[in-house]
Amino acid sequence: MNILRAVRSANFLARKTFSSVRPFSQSQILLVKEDELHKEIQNAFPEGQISVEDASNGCGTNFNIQVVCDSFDGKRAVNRNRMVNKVIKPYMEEIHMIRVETFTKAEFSSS
Amino acid sequence: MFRRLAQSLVRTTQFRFVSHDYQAIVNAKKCVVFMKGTPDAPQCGFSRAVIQMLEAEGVDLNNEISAHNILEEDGMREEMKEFSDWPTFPQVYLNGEFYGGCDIMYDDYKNEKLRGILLEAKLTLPEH
Repeated sequence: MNILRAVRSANFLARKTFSSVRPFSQSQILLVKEDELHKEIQNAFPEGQISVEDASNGCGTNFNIQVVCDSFDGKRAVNRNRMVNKVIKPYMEEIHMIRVETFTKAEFSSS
Repeated sequence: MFRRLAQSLVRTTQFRFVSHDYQAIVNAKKCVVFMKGTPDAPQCGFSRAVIQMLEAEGVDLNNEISAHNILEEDGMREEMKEFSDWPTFPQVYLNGEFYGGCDIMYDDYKNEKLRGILLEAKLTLPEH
């Protein structure tokens, strides 16, 4: 009788302790990944050279993004960045910091 | 169905920036900075960098610019992101027009274009 009670309470305790822990796979889905961002940006700038780097050591919170594309030609820096920002806007809730660098092909080769 | 349509139309057109009159704020001075912290006590490296660059160009921080602390002012943090269509701070406005953030200013500063841009915005800068 005592053993049963002990097992039951242990069960109860275990369930309580681990109820708030997310299963491993679920937390991976919430993490913003370099590849995902890269793909999204590449889709928006098909002929561009894209570079996405996770600057938060895999935490998915800080990113350095570089886009080289001639569609930036003639546009102010602000508007170029906005073109990129629009693409990553859905991810901005999870991302804390981004560094976006935009170049035309000519500017990039001379930098 | 029309009710839904009307509601969504109202939602998109209604003035969502209710905490402050941002249009008036960005037009108030030739240079307006939305930052974390204050010019004397910045609370973020990028905000500090913007202030340092303005100082380096000789801008009179007391008279020529107005700085707003988005950490202190109600609603400003979220609403300015929408108003500027820019996801991060600091945000710099010149003559009522959004100029950019720290990276953009640093780029112009590095290429020695910042002084020209500030002069174009009719800021008074000391002679070199």
